[in-house]
Amino acid sequence: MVDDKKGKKGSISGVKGSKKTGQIQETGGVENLSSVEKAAGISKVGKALGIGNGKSTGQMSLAEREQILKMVEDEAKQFFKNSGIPKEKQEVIEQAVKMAIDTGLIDEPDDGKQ
Amino acid sequence: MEQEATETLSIEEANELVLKHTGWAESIARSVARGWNLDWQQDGLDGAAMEALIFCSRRYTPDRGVPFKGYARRRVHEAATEAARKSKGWEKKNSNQKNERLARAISAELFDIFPGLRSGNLSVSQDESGSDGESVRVSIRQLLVGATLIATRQDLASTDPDAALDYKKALHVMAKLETIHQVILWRIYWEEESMRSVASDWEIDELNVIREHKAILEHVQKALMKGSISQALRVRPGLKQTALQLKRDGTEPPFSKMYKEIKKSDG
Repeated sequence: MVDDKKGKKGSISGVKGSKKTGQIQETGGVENLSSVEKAAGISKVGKALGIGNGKSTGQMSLAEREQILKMVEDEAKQFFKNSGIPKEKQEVIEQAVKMAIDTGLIDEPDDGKQ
Repeated sequence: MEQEATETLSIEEANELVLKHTGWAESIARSVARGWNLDWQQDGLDGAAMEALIFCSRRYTPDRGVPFKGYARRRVHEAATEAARKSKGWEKKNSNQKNERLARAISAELFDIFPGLRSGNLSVSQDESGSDGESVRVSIRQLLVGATLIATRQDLASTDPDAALDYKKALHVMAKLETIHQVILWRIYWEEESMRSVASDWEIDELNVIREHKAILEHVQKALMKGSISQALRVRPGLKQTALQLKRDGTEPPFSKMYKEIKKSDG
């Protein structure tokens, strides 16, 4: 301990003998841990609203078909505006994109189960 | 050392898997038929999907931790599309279906460039973290550019004398790209090589080509939308060495050459 009773400000005169520390008592053993119960499986996940909402994989479902195909129409309109590509060919390209997307949309989603 | 478990299922277990997923495989066949305006049964898509399902059940190794649907979906889709391409419905000769046939042919090629489409995955850029509708739109734009490039190649190969003029702007945009970017597009869309094969030929990671391809499509899309080319697309660090090598080898930029010829013949 620091003795500062008669010491002047800023000086330390001496250190008195420190007390011995007591022995640390032995820790008691862990008695009984009840076993962790098995978590119940997720039964169902609600459908996210909006296209691709919260889907980091970009997985699309048949339910979103109309919305996606409408998006293709909107994007194609903007994309072809200044492209110089004739209208008939624009339609073929737009249809090709719609087809490629549509053939991948199934009515039974991949739920990750076997 | 622990041995990697790669045990396939017993015949009984595999058959059970087939029974359990028959409806699912059929829905893939129906989707392909719906998208391409074919008959899923008459055009033989159902049989092809079932065959692929059985094939996958025999080779599936559950120990690898991949769910069966995740393992089999692309293969079942591939089988259904292959059957569709060989079907009578594919080559319907009615003149009013000419454009439908052309669109089908383009879309079939899109699967090779954007394989995620086979699984209903619209994150075509593969490193896209699609959290909202915007990433879906980005993917759609990429598909539109990809389909335009395929259509350009198909039309230029046809006997249509105006084909080159129809796609003059697109060709002009591509002709202004760096040599390496032109070579990437050429090899993927004109020579129908996979991105993996291009990467392996250049001894680089496939991801470099995938990302560069995505950037090129975005650049082409913006330039076509604006109707002008604002800035040149820079080569990403992962491809700089290859770009330098191409220049050292004197590789001729394929679209610049093609555009020159078109301009010459156009007068």
